[in-house]
Amino acid sequence: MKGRESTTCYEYWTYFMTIGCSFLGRILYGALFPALCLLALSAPVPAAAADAGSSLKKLQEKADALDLSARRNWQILLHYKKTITGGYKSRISDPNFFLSPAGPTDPREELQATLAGFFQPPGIEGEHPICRFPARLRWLTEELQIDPSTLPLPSCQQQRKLIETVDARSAVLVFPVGHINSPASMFGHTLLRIDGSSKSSLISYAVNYAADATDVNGFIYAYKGIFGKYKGYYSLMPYYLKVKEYSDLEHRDMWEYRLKLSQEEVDRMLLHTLELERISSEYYFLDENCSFNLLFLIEAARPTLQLTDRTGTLVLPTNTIDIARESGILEEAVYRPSQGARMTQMASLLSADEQQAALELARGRRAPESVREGDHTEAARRGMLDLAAETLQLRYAGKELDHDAYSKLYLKILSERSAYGKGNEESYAIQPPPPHDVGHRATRIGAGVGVRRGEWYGEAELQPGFHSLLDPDQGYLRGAQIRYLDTALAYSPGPGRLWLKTLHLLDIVSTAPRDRFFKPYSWKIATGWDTEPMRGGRDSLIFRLNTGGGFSARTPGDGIVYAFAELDLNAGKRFRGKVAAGPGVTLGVLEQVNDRWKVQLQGGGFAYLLGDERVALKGTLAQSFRLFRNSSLSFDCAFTRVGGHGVPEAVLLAHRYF
Amino acid sequence: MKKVLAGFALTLLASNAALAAQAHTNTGCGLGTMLFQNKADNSIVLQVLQSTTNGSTGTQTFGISSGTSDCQQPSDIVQNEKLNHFVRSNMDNLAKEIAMGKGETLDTFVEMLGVAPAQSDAYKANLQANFGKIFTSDKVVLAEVIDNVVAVSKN
Repeated sequence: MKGRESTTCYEYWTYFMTIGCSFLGRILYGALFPALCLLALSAPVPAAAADAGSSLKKLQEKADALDLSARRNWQILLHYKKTITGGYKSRISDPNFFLSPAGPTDPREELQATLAGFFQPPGIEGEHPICRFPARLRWLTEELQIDPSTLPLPSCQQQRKLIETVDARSAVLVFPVGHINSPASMFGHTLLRIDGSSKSSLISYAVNYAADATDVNGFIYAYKGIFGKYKGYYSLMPYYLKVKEYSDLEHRDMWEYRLKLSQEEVDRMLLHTLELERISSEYYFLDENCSFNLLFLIEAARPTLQLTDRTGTLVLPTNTIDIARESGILEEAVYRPSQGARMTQMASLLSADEQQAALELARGRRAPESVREGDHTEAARRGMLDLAAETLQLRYAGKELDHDAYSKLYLKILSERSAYGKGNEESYAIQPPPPHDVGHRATRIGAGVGVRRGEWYGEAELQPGFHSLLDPDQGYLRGAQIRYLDTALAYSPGPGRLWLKTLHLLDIVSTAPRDRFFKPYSWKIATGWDTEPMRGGRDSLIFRLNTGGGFSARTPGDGIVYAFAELDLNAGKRFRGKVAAGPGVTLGVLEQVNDRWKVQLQGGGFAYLLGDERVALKGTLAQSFRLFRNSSLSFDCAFTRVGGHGVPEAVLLAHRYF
Repeated sequence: MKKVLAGFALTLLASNAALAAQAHTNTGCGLGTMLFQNKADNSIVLQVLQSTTNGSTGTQTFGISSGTSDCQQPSDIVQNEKLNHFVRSNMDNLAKEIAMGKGETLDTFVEMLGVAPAQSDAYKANLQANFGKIFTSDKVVLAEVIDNVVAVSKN
């Protein structure tokens, strides 16, 4: 702390002096601070200046002759994108990232200024362009054959130490999958890991791009996230902090894809990462997000890769993995199970009684020594204590007990555990689930036929993203749904009528099964337009906001059974008073019959007590069949009953994911 | 004169900071302190929306470690900031894995201590057998854990 404190003070002091000298010093304080100014300017300028000037000029001319600023390498390093008018604009707006004021839009000007910057006399430690832009320096040195001896020698100590510590040898693209109870996190996240020479990857370094957000209000958070009101920054930190965050704290499994990069390419990646230290860029949740911004680092490693140009208007972390996979730089995925997955595996090796015993151990209701009693195998005694220790960590995280009680009990359990040897190393190994790569693509289209009240129609649907409860689960979170803008249009040839079946702005369902150890709540929220029968029996388009909370559990067949208490708010021109609102209940079961076949049976009832009074009942049997990775069939049968009118409907659709 | 004054003020500032750091010594250097640090409010709404920005603390840090100078330092041969920080951040998992005799955190720890791969299994078994001598109380702090490990390994 002391050391850092004084560095900051030193830097601030030098900074003050330099500013003072260049702006005010000579004019106002010229007489007061001549000594200080001399200190700051006493860097070795004069003798070499003329020489430096002429070699700089030559280099700048050579750069122009070679048209270096039009090269892809330069465009990657400066994050330029082509504008509609044929010009360039950097995706980074932070002025600190540029040496020329015209830099954000003028690659040539920035290149010239960068060269000039390199010849600037050394000033504040770490602030010289040579220290700040090591990747530019390396590339320009290669292209222009800059003689390093002609350049000034700033010390760049911090940077040198960082490069030494990180000791970059290879790089890994890391994808923490979604959080079971937070379908929005199904978008996932991606980060990079830079491995050194250690065998353990926990002490490697993670490169992360994230929004610097401090708002606690969730809606402000989301608004700012979507509309680019947050600043995004790159950061570099020990990988174990990220593993703790995702795997232990949030129970998200992680997939680690090693990148096929040479030593030289990994070096370039790290150097460019260093250039982005403390540089801000606007963070856009939908496209210019964590995943998108990491692509720049991969491109910087190997400029022949075209990754950032290939993204669409919406960049999901999974897209970036697909893009990287298609460009051929990904190795096979390595699975890192979350703490939750490890606990489930531990529990699966114990009997129900033993699981209960582990839970009681973790609640302090049973002494750790008690595992010695009773008729248990040695492995089961170990297992109970292991599971108890993990469960206790979770209880502490959930603030179920205080710090003192936690650490006392934790040590007691561990102390008992240490007497049982290590046991079979393999028993806790977890069979990796299918990785994201085998899952369906995020955008779905579909077409098919349906019949409603005996009237035939053709249907076309579009689900721009992401995953519905009935889509094939491989590579996705089971029991979680997040869809946005899913739209279904129908055409009835009989009456020649085109109608909008649904247009959901957002439709999220999170069924998180509860068990002995985990007690999450399930919840849902949906909003958008639906065509529904009114009390008179006629169909009408209504706007709806529906939300609910409830419970779910695993079925014996490893499916999910769920119950929600909901509130449904409707608005439509055929309602009396234009609106209707009421509570309801939905019960359902979702069963994966086999690898390809999924069935959902659901029933619900709503009593609209406000506005347009009516009772609506609906039962659905929905099935889906996975044909290939990116195609499936669905067959839904539904029966709706409103105000004495029954509406039967069946739809058969073929889906394609791309 | 001004320079002298400024220098004096700076010294004062620095010593204040040092005192403040001293006062905090060893809070957050033991079990249960870094386990779930930075844990956000667990409300569902926040959880859902938070993933829109992937925001977490430390978004701007380019630190290779966040430091352990507010903790008492290990006395023995092991003066390694990277190791100290690792143990501090992973104390709970390390305790668990030493008791279990296996695990990635333990493997990393043993590698950082410079134990040869061929001796790693025996080393881990020895730590497990001496769990009580390493984690001597629930108030044990980073420095003691590392010193105890070193002491146990000498036997």
